[in-house]
Amino acid sequence: MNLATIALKNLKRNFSFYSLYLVSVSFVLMIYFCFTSFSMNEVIMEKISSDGRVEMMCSVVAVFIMAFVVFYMFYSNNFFMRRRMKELGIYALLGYRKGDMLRLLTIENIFVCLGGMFAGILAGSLLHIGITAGIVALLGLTIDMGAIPFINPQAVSSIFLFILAVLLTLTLSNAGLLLKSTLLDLVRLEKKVEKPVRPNIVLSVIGIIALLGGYALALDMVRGAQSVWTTIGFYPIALLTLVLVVVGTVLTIYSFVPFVCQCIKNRHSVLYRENTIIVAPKFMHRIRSNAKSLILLILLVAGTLSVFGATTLSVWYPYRAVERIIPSAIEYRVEDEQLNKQALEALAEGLNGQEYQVQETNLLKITASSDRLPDEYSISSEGVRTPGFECMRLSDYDTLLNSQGKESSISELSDTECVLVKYRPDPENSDVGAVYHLDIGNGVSTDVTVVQTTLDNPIGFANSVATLLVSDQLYQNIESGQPEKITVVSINGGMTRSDGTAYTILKNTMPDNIYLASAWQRQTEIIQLNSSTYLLIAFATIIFLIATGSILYFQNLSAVTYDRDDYNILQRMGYNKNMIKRCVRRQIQIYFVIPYVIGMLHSIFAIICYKSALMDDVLGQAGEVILPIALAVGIFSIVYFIYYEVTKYSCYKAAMN
Amino acid sequence: MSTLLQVMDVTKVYKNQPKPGLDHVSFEVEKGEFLGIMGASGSGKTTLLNVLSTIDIPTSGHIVMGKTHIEKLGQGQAADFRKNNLGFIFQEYFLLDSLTVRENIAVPLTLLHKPAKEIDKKVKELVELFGIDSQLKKYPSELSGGQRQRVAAARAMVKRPPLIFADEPTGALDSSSATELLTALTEVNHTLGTTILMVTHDPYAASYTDRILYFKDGHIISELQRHNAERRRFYEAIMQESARQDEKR
Repeated sequence: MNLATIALKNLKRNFSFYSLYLVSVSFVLMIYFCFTSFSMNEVIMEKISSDGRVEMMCSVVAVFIMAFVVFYMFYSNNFFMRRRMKELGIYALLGYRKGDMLRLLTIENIFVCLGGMFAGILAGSLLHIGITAGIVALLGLTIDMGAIPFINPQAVSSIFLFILAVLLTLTLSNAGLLLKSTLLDLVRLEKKVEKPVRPNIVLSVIGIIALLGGYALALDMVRGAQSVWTTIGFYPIALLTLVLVVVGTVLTIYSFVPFVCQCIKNRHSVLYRENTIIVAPKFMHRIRSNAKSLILLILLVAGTLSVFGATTLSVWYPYRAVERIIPSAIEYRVEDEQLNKQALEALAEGLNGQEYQVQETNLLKITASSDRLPDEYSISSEGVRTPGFECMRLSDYDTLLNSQGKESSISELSDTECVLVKYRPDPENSDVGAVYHLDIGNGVSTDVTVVQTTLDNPIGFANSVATLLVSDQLYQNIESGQPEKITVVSINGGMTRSDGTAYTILKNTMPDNIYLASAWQRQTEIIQLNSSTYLLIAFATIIFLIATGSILYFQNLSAVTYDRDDYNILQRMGYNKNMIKRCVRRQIQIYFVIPYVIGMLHSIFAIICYKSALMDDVLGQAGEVILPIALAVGIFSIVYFIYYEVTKYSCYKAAMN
Repeated sequence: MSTLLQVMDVTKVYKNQPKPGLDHVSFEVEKGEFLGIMGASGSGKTTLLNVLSTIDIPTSGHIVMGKTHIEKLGQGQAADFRKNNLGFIFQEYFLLDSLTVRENIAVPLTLLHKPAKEIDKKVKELVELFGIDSQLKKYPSELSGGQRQRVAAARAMVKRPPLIFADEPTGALDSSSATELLTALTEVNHTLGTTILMVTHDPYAASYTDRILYFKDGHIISELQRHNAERRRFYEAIMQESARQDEKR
């Protein structure tokens, strides 16, 4: 029997075991091939990337994907090698040389890699076509789908070269392992007994302090200008936080977790329970060899959730912020009365019979003096705006808010009171009580006190910042001084917010009006500008997810397979099937729960840090952060749970055989 | 003495095997008896142990312990029966590598939901009885073969089961460790009144028992009673019986 036949027979005999490896390798290569095809798809790249940004991101993500595939296959290969040490020992006893064994392993790897590659190319091509069609539909691109080849020959040569490189790496790794193993090692390695872990209380405390320190630094970002991120500098603090979290994680797993286990072992009233007496010592006994995997898993879970959470937040937040940036469906500043009339007539004609409301609002632009003028007063964008307040009549405010489907929270104002519309949230209400001396013309000024601030701006920030709500009487007084008047037209109702027809009609009529803004247009723009970025991040997230899930699967299956004899002993001692299953379940749960909990904590702090550092908060509602993060955590948890169930099922089978 | 275990006309047939593993076997075991089962490889010793200990099911016949018909137990009931009534000592020790000596011995009592204090007390008694009280915190890998087998014996005894099955318990031990273990088993048998059923092919180990059943091709072919004789005299009788059986081959 030659080596190829032995290799093939071996794969056939262990098909159920290898099938998962083959499926996961195929899956990983499918992602690789789909990604390579996508980045080599000139037809779509031409449309979605004008400045080379997407190509650059593709090359960054490609490095991640390649690194992962190599790591994943390296990891799985080592897992299989460990499992087969005894078998290799038997080959050695029969007279096989190490060179023969290496060839046998290489032939098996070639079978698995080629199988995975063919499946990966087919599935990856299908996925690529699906994703391209999705992008074309989402962005409304006009491209000839027929011009995109089903299987990209360039991508095929790329995956082939890549597989060759992976095979070479695996062969070198196997050669290294075989060379340093003696015959005795080969026969005994599978059951080598580990040195027990001695927990270290000092390192445990240092680990916990490092973790808490890292979290505290991440939270400090919320303080904004007063935080150490601003006072000391972003990069040194970012580096310190990263080091603290990583060191904290490593020490927690190497010292604190064994310390807790030791405490359980020492408390006999806790230890002497039918599951605990098996699971706790087992975990303790093996934590040394699995600590590295646990640390890797924690960092992978944290990485996956952080990237995923930050992405959903980055999609959701600007989308939601449109409600404040352009509160009406469409609005514009009237620059030319005649043109405005024409535009509204064209709109009426274009929307033939559809229901919508048009409201004109006059804002009075005035200057003021005060020792507590708000930041909004002097906001200026490239000289388009001069410092000042834009006063609005309270009755106009109520009407406009109603047409936007909102309720006003301001009931009444006296002539000496005003409400300031804030751009960013101000939880400390620092403007309430400020007195502004409004210059109402002819050298006369009147004092108003800020009684309230609000984030319910009825007019978009492109047309009015530092909006001051005043009583109708005060408005009339200011108006009599003939200040500069800004007329803003707001259009609401019907399909005007969800459909682009009304915006297109107005844009065609007033092509030069820079103040014309539409919620629909803004939301479409957000999707178009960022979809390719999100897609690439989705690739990276999927890769992280597969990595996490697969390592968990193989780690647990390997542990349970290793313990099969123990379960047999337990059955003889009177453990029934359900008790054995419970033991297996507890054992798996530890490996799933620790990375999940610690990884999730890491990522929550990372996302808080990301939001405070890089996102412009105009909504001022903490709840807005919860939904996208909950979505990311929810999706991640579902996938994680599926992996848990599959692992549990396989481990039950392994334990009961 | 009263009867603890009744084996009545038990047969075990395996698929694709021309001869039955056990062929209409019947015998009784008295309470407090130390019974030896001897025979060559393939004579049916291990099959008998498996069906008696609920690990396997006989094809026909009855096995009764107390009022329980062992052959009728379902999987869950069989596990409970093992938990409450049986102890095991195997040639390969079958200790749990990741548990210390104390934890290994404590497992059967944990399964019976005994309070922690009682478990610690009983573990202490047993390790003193088997002379392994200085090894409590060690892992099986840190012990010699003889010490491991004594841990296995202590684990089998700790819950004071009415019946202990020992499958070639001295098979992997050197002669002095084997003697230590057999002496300890005899002491437990005498002091605690534990019934022991030991499968062995070693005449020396068998000389510690009260009675021996010889198996061949799934049948009991002869029986040897000790009748309170000295161990050395019983050993000679066993050797003579073995020589007699060799002549019949």
